[in-house]
Amino acid sequence: MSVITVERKVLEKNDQVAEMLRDQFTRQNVTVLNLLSSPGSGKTTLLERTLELLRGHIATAVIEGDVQTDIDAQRIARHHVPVVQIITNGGCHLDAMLVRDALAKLALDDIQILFIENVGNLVCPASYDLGEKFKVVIVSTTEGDDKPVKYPKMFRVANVCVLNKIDLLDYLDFDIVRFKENARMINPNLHFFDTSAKTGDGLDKWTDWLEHLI
Amino acid sequence: MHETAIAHDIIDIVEETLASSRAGSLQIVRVTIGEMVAVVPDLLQHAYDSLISGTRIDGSKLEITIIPISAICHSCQKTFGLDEFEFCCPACQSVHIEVKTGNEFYIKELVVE
Repeated sequence: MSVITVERKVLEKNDQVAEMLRDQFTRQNVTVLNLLSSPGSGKTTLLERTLELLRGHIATAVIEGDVQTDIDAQRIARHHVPVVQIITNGGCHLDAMLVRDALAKLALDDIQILFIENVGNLVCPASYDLGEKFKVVIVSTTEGDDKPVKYPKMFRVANVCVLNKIDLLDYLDFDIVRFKENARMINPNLHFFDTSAKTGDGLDKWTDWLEHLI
Repeated sequence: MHETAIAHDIIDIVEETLASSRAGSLQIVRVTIGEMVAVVPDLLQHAYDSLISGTRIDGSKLEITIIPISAICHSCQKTFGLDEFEFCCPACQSVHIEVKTGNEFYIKELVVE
């Protein structure tokens, strides 16, 4: 029996590619947001509304990650925004290599903000750096105010939390104060936006913040 | 359920290491995983076992060491462990803490025959 020392990070390949992407985004002045949520949080609807509100002010593009189908990419394409679909064929997260390959189909020089809509999942995508500047976790009020406690890693690595579907608060037992307390317990630096992609409530603050990023 | 993707990454690094070492048959892969890393050890072991089936490292096992989350409080300087993902100091309740351990995720060494 003998021992061979390895001491290598398991995700080193992803992290190396992510750093290359981060350098590239910085060089080309592209602000990249990695959008993370459970399935059904209203992430694509929020993105569609956001793209409409930014139209004419900011050049945007989208990378869509889905396990199957290009339904979401079709929705985004209706807003006349460059969009690249990544289908993971069962994979539960996007990785930096998939993003790198998708970038070949985008003219980065013409883009100011690139949204990467990750696969709907609050566990696996938290571990994969995509070279983004911000990780944005989107939670909807229908999911319950205990989401941060159940998925602490995601809330720990996120920079921004968008609480969506606030138009439904009157019909739910969702306690918005408790939700934010839970989230801040895990990550005191989280920056919150309360939105309803359906009614448009709160989208002005969210898009103001986005416009100030560039 | 990203354990399969992770098992692939582990196997890639193991194969690279073995290729450059003229080592004998692989017995154990020692992996260190912090509790902050959302990986389920049993699932990772199963994914690894099924991916190596029929390959030259078939029969080798993962030996996983879990590193608990610990942190230091920047308000009172106390060092403490976090059991429940409550990122605040148990002594002074400050949330200005820095995680010191629990994010590890690396292959430490291989045991070969």
